[in-house]
Amino acid sequence: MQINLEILSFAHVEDPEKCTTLNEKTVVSDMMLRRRLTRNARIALYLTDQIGDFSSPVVIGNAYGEVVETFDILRSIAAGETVSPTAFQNSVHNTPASYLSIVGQNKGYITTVSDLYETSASVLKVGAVKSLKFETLLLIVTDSIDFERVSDLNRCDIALKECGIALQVRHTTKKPTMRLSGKSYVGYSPSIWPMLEIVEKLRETKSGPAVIAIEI
Amino acid sequence: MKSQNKVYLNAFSCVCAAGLNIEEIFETLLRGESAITDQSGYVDGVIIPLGKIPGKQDFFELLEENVTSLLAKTPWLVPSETIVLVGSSVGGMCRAEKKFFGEGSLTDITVEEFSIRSIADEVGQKFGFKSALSFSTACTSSSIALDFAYDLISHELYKTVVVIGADELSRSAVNGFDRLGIASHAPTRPFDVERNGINVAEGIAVLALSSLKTPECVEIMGCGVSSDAYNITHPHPQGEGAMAAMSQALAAAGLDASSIDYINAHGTGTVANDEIESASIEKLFGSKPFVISTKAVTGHTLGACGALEAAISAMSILNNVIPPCANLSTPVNATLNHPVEATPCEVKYVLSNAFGFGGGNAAIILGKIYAD
Repeated sequence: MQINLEILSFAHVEDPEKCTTLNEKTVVSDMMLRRRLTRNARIALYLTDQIGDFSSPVVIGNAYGEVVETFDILRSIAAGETVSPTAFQNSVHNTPASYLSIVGQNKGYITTVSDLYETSASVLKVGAVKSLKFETLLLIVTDSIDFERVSDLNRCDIALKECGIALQVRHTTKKPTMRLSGKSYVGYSPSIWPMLEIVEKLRETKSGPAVIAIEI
Repeated sequence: MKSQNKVYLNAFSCVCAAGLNIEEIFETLLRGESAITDQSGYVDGVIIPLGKIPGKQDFFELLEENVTSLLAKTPWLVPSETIVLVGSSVGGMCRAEKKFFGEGSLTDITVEEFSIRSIADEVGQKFGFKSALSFSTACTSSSIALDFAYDLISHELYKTVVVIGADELSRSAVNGFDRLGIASHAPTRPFDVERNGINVAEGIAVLALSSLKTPECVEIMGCGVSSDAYNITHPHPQGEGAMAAMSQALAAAGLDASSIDYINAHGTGTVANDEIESASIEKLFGSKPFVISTKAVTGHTLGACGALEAAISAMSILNNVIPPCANLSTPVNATLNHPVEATPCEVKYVLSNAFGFGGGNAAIILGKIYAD
């Protein structure tokens, strides 16, 4: 079964190493809170701010979780050191979702999916189903894999260590105007590909609504 | 699109410290017998009480056994037409820990083996499910999966859904909770004035949901999901998020608060959760419903707890008995109705809570099915 989503707005950010223009000081005025943000949270907040929607329900995906904090915990235990409480509380996959909720005072539905290379496909599916209930939704995928042991694990030649995409969507009965071809993007994490293809097609769209059919 | 189908919880297969199947787990709960045991090897130089599955083999083998067991109970469920929804906080993290602590490196393990997705992949490949999707929202993970399963079935997008809540005891989680100062070094005492934290635990719960009314099933009446927008580790002090989730679940189920017979509370045994959850329950439900936490017996199974406790709640409905609130002497909130022994009674509607790190809240209402 298919559910059609109209894409109302989008935002995209990427960097081979580390995104440096995330406007953290503007987006998060509380310095203490800002200092605690994970990389994925910073990217998600930037994207949300770019779209200008901190109140819609959110489906956020990340394939690898909070790798900096997770590895910090592993390294501490291996070294016989105590685990950092901040690293632990920031190590769960829903950390970006939590900071989005706190910064935006969003008290509604905010969830996190993590399906490795299927992550953005899953974000689109959950978003499509939830669009039957909510007026608009924000669908976000972020990946930040900039940690010291990334070379141990990076076996699919991911060149971009940070990438994030956000789509503001709503359910529609209009006919699809774009179809995903399952395109691969060299250097990008496969977890990003479907939403990256949507962004590519949105940039090619000259006028009229952008509608995509999501197979559930 | 208006919801059309009713959603049933048809069968379940579970394992945790309290038992190797749901019948054993429920019996242990009815006896109010803590399954928490002292464990070494998780926090250096410290013996810490944890909810460890007795005689545990490989976690993923146990997972496969439980899916096999569920499919044996549901011959009508066709895997190739069924989606699997996983809720897990740590996924295959223990595999990464084993490699890293053993070899000091992650070069000999693939991300496929230890990601959250590893659970869905293992099950999907072995049993041939149509597709899979994984939620990781800390301790609400499998409740969020249940909420999504409810949507898929009620909107007639799927007829059958398998929900898996699964989390294994990892050194990362045990050390993390210990460093946050919320891991109890004694058996946990949910809702007691003397409570001082959680017992981290492991568990697997595999649930079959469908639009089919089968013998021995219960109805999933409605779900509510909210965010605190307050703090990463501390619940909203007035319980706004918790009350929002419970209120949404009531509205979705079309029920008044007075209809609820029994609340399976999140009841972690932390100072903050139990005080705030108690006050929230009192505000919404008064003193009528029985309120228990199963975590004194099972421990806190993290992302698995929503699915595990949905199965336990279903057992209460099917067997007309409510387990006691174990290890409770002096309640933090004397207004609430905490049973201190197993209580036989008609259980028509149960509300089951799960709250998590980051301020996520989920509530699910299950209901008895009466003969037409």
